[in-house]
Amino acid sequence: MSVGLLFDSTKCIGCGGCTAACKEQNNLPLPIEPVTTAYTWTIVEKRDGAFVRRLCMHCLEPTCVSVCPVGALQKSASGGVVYDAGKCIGCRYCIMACPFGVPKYQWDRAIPVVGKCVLCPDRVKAGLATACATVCPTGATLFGDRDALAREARARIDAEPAKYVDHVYGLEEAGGTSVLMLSGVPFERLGMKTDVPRQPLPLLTWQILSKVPDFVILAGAFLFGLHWITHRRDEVRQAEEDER
Amino acid sequence: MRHSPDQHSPGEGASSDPVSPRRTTRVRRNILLNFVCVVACAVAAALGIGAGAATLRLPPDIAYDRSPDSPGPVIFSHVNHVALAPSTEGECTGCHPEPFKMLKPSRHVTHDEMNAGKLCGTCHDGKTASGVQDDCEHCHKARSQSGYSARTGGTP
Amino acid sequence: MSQALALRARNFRISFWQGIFVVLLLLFLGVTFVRFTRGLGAVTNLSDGFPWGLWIGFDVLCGVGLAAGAFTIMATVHLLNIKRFEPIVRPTLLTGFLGYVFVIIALMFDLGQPWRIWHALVFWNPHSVMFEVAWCVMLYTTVLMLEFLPIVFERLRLERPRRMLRFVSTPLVVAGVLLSTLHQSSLGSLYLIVPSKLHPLWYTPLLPFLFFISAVGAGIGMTFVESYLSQRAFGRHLEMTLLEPLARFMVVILTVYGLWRLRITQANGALAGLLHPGYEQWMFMLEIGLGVILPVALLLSRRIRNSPRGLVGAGFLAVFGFVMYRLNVSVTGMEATSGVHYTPSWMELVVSLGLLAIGMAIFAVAVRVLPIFPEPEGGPGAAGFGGDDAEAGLIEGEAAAPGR
Repeated sequence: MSVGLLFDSTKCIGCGGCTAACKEQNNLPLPIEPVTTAYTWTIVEKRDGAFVRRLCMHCLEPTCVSVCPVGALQKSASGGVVYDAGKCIGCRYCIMACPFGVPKYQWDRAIPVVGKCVLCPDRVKAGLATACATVCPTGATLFGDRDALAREARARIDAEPAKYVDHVYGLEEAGGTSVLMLSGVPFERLGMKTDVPRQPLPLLTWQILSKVPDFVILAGAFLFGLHWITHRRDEVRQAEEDER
Repeated sequence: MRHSPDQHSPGEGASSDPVSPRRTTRVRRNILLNFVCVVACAVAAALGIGAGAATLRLPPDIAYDRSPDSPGPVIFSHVNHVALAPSTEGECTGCHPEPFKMLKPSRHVTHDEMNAGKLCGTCHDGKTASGVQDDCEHCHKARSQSGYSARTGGTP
Repeated sequence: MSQALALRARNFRISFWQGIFVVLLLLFLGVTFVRFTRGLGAVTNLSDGFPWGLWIGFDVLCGVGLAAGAFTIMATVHLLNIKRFEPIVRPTLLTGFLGYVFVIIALMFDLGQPWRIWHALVFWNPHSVMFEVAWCVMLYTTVLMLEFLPIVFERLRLERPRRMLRFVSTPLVVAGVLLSTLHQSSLGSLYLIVPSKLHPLWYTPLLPFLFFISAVGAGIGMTFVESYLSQRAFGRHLEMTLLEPLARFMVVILTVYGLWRLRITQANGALAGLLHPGYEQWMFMLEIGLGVILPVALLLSRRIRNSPRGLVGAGFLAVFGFVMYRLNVSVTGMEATSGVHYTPSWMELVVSLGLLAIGMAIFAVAVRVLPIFPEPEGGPGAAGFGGDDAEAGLIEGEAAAPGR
C-alpha cells in the first residue's frame, strides 16, 4: 500500500498544529518560520482568504530522487520521499530541480544537510498517521491510502461542486503525487505551481541519459575507426620506408 | 498573526471582548474568568454549530499527575485555552511544540518548573495570565470540565 | 633603447599584476576560512530560491567548457590526423587540465560537504545527470593528466614512462574525446529537468547538443586568446598559418550554433518577445549579438582573420558569448521563476577570481618550465602573434607552411 495525504484547504483554519507536530516529530529546532526552510518542513500559509499547507508533495516519480547523484533521496515503498543525510554530498541539485520548490538547505551550517518533509516514515511503519494528520483538529489533513484519498477527493468535489475548484491538485502534476490537495479558490491563487508538467520530469533527462552507453559504444568504435583510416597513409609510408 | 479576526474559529471571536475584566483584583478576576470561560465556551460551541463550521477535534481534557500534597486534581481544558488564551491567537503553535509537546505529552508538571517560567508558568506568570501561586482552586478543582470537550468531539 | 624600455615596462606590468594577485590570494584564503567554518550562507548570496550561483554557473560550467579546446584539437590532430595543428596540442592540453583542476577546486567550495565527494563513486544513481557529470569530471581529469604527463616526462627526461604512455595514447585520445563530449553535453542536460523554471529563451530539450557545440566554438576562441596572452607575456606563440584555418572552422561552428539557437527560440515562441525586450531579452541579445553574430561577422573578413588582433578580438568575443550562455542558463534564465534576485556576493567573486588567477599563475609557470609552446625560431617576437610583428609573422608563417 502506498500512503499519502489529502489536504482540503476549505477545512483548514490555519491553526498551525501540523507545523508544531512536525517540529516535534522530526526534532526540528524552533522557531517556526513563516516559510518552509531546512528547519521548518511544513507551514500553513494564508492566501486569498484561504489557508494552504506547504509541504513536500511526495511525487510518485520524484524529480529529486532522479537527480540525486548519490541516491540520498529515495521513494520509499510506503510512499514517502525519504532522505539519507549520511549520503548527501550537498550538490543541491534536488533544490534546483524540484518543480514544487520543496527541498531546503541548511545555509547557516558548516556541515549542512537538506531538509524536507519525509512523510513520517517511522510513524507510518508503526501503523500510525503522519504527525500533521494526527493532530489536525479539523481533519483538513487526512492520512490514508493514496488511491483511496484520490477517490475521496473526487467524491468531495462531486458532492459539493460549488464549494470546490474542480481539480485535485497532485493527481497528475509531475506525473502524480502522494499528497493531494483540494481548494475552494484557484490553485495558482494559493501560490501553488500550476505550470508543472503533467508527465514525470525524470523522463526528460532519462531520454538523453539512457543513450549514453549506446553513444560510448558507437562513437568509440567510430573514433577508433577514424584513427585507423586516417593513419593508414602513415603506415603505408612507414612500410615503403622499411622496404627501401 | 497570520490571519485577521474574522478568520478565527468562532470561539476566538467570542473571547476577545470579555478578557477586559481581568484588570480588577485577583480573586474577583479569577472568579470572573471562570464565569467568562464557561460563557465563552458555550457561545463558541453555539456559534460553531450555528455557522456549520468544521467541528474542532480538540484533545479531551487532560488530568495531570497528582502529587501527595496536591489540594485537588488539575484538569486542563483545550477548549478554554484555545478560546481564551490571547497569546496563542487561536493557533496551536502558541503552546506547541514548546512548552508542551503534542505527540508525546507529559502529564507531569511541578510548581518548581512553573515558577521557573516553564510549562504552564510560561504564560501563567501573573502578567500574561493568572499566576500559578495566586489561587489554588483556579487550577486544583474537584470537578471535571469534560462537559466542554464532549461538545467538541473529543480525541482524534 | 626601446628594448630596455619595453623590458622595464613589462617588469612593471608584471609587478602590478603580481600585487593584485597577492591581494586576491589573501582575500581568497580569508573567504575560504569563512566558507568552511561558517557555511555557504555566510559567504554566498545563495538561498533556497537560488541554490546554484556563480560557482556553478561560471567556475564549473565555464571551467569545463574552456577545456573544450583540448579535445577539439586532440581529435583534429590524432584522430583526423591533421598533423599541422600539432603545435597547438600542448597549450590546449594544459588549459584543459588546468580548467578541470579549476572545476574540481570550485566544486570543493560549492558542495555542501565536499569531503564526501567520493560518495559518487560508491553510491550510484545512473538516472542523475549529476552522477554522469561527476564521473566525467573524475575520468576526464585523469585522462587529461595522462595526456599531459608525457610533457612533464619529456622535461624530466624520463624516457621509459613516456614510452609507456605513448603506447596507450590512442585509447586515451578516444576516451578523452568521448568523455569530453559527454561532459560538455551533460552540463546542458543538467537543466533538462527544469522546463517550468528555465526561461523559454534558453530551455530546450536540445540543451546538451547546444552546450556541446558552443563549447567547441569557445574552445577555439580560447586557443586564440591563450596564444595571444602567451605572446605578450612570454614571447611564445602559435603561428598564424595554424590559427587562420581554425578561425574559418570557428566561423562555421558559430554560424551553425547561432542559427540553431535562433531556430529553437523561434520554435519556443520566444522570438517575438525580443521586440519588446525585458531583462532576459536584453541578456539574450547581448549573448547572441556580441558572442555569436559579431565574431562571425569579424572573422568573415579576410583581413581580420589574418590579423592577430582581429583573431584575439573574435576569440575573446566567442569566449564571452560562451560564458554568457552558461550564465544565462544558470542564472538569468532561472531568476524569474525563482522569485528572488541573485547577484553574487563579493566573496563569491573573490573565490572565482582567485581560482582564475591561480590557474593563470600555474599556466604562466608551466609555460616557463615545461616544453608547452614551440621554441620561437628567430628569437622572441620574430614570428606570428606580437602586435607590430604580425605582418612579418604572417609572411614567414605562410612561407613555412608548404614545407610541412
